[in-house]
Amino acid sequence: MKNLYVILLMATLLPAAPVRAEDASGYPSKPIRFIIPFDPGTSSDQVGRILSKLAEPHLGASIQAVNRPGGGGGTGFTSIKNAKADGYTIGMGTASLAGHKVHGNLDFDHNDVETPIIVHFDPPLMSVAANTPFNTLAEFIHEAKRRPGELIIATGVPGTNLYVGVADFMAQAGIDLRIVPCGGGGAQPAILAGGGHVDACLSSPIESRAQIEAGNIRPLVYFNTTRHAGMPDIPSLDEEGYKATVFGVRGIITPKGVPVEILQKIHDAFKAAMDDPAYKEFVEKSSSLVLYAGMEDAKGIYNQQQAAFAAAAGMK
Amino acid sequence: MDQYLLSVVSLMANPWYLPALAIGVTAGIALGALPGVSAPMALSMLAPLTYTVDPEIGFGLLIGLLNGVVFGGSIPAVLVNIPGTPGAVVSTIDGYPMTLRGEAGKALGIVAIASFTGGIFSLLCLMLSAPVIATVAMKFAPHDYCAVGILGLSITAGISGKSVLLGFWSALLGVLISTAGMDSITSQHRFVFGVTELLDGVPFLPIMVGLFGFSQVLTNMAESHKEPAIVPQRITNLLPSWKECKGLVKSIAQGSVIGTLVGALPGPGGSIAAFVSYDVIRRTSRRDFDSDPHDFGAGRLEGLAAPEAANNAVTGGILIPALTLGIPGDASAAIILGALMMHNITPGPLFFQNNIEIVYLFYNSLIISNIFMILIGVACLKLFVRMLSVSTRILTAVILILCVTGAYAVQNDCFGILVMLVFGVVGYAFRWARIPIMPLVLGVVLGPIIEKNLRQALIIEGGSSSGILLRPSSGLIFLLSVVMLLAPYRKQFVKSVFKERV
Repeated sequence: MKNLYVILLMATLLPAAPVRAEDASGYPSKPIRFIIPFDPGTSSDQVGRILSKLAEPHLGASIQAVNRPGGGGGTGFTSIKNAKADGYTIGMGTASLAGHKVHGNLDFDHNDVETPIIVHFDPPLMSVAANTPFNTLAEFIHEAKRRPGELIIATGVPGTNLYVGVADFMAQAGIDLRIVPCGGGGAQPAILAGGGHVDACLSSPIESRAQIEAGNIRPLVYFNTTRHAGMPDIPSLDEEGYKATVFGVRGIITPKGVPVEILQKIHDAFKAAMDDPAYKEFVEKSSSLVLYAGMEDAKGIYNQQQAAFAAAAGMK
Repeated sequence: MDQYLLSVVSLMANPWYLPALAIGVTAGIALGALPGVSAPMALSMLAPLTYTVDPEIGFGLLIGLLNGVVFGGSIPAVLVNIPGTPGAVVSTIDGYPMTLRGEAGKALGIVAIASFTGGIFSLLCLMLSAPVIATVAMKFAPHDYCAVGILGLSITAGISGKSVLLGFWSALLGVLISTAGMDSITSQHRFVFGVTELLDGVPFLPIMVGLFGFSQVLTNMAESHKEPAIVPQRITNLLPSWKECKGLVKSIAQGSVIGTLVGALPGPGGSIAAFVSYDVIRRTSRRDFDSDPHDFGAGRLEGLAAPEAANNAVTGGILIPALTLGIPGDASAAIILGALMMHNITPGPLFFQNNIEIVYLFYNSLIISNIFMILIGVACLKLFVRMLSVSTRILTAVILILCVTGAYAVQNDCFGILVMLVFGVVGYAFRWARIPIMPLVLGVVLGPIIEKNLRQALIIEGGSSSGILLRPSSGLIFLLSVVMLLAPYRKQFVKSVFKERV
């Protein structure tokens, strides 16, 4: 038994092995930690896990995905930002990283990390509880105007693209909804609506899918400029006469100051992962979209998202 | 049924399936016994494996591990008063006194039997009623989850020992500690003081390791001038007698039901199942001192059997909301959920209809891993008990090392060690001042659940508390909490009324 303990003890000590100095040409020479700032099972988690697994052979090192949820992604973003800039700690970035600073939740944003590549685009879906009478967005808005402050919508926490999306939509439509923020992302908004506890929910299509299939909630509108090929019957927000402005834009982020050659290697490996049929299949099944941007364009996309977050926050 | 048997046959045809389960259970027991290595941590180490191997082997391994960890966590709880996992905290109350009187083997035997029964019972519930439970769980509003959290806190009196008032202060302190971090509704920072590691709150596992592990190290050090008393352990007759087993039927049955029900509620999750079942058995036990001369807190067999049945019953229970709603009841369920999704399987209300092979795989793995658990557990009883013959000084040093590495490994972060040290001192001070520690743990676990659901419920009700109190289901649970809270004073109350009349 004592021997067993010694072995186990050493096993727990392994991750603590000191970091050796590394030059870019030898990268990667050891496993890479991939931080996912959201709960297991959320949309971000699934994208992060599938891409990090597919990127492994192209990068030539094992990539270990770790969830570090909390504070609408804030905890995980912070630990990526504060990690050593050697390319061995990377993680999942979302548009919320740009949004949190606008909201005053975090004192840093996408400009304080590197974004070697943008990989995923996930506009949310607004659905209503099956026990509500609404079949179109117009009906929903009509009722919301008749009873200001009474219809309830469940979504993400302030600072996330979901919450800001709701706030922006309310301002555009001139309605006042009660917002129930659900931490950690994931299935809770759809379940609150599915159980009939709230009237509507806004969450990623993949996070609402199970409740839609079970007939507990009805999708009303896709918060994007155009319809999704996989959901041809669901109108886009722009078709309904409003503007979709904030989206779930996901990229790979690293601490500031990682050498450009290493960033290029990360970019290339994840680009190859994106071209893998398994990723395409995942994107199709999750009713999301592929969005690729390299190092030069990534910052521009997040800047544009940040402006949209700021505008939405200002309008409120 | 035919289809089910067919799937069993095809599973057994995979030569690696049973070994994977056995390895999972064994590794789980070993990891669970280390303070600071919890089920989620062990699972997340192995979860990536399921992406590359057959789902049968991968999920077999995960479920074996999950079962093993829960059992393993109780071993140090019984032997050295340090729970290996959060679920085993309550097992120290009556388990450790048994070790002190030389009955460690019997205590672990009870742990194995109760765990096995609880595990199998919750599995039967999962098989027979998961879709029904899922429908009911969906009707649970934030109002109700908040009420369940309050109900959980109301058992504070039951786990405070003699100092009930201090117990409530301890629980309140726990709730206060749990408010640190990013606010779950507005994302604002509370009690963070610019420490980014605190954004997600004070990490729970290091708190646990400190309160129970490091504080025990401090206690041992403070008492090192005394001649360490090694209690001679009876090595023969390790298992409880038939008569004793019969006396445990009620506690094990109660623990199994409570564990399954509490586990099936997403949110409060499994961490409080053991607490609740301990409190219930303590209140309802007939205290038949013929079959067992010891009272609760002094090594009563029932007091160990009930929470042990409950914490294993949770494993089946937490899978219900995880598979049918996509809401993980706790961090372990979240990891299994994540692994399922990687196989492109979406949990949800239709899970049981659409993924029958996976459902059967889960059933089989749960049954077999429970069998492995009791076999391996009983086979290794002597080995575990022999650990006690190590001198206290060496044991203390080993525990200290385990505490530090365990607290570090939670997030690979020195902050965990700091939290562990601080709470070790807190735990030592509590022991010295005779303030109960358990309520503090309860407060830390339940605080965030109560707060988040209360605030969500208040938003839904437009700020009116009557909407929460008058909702039939939550109202009933609130009422039950009041009853639980006042129950210990019932006799006093009746007596005082009676006196006045006379």
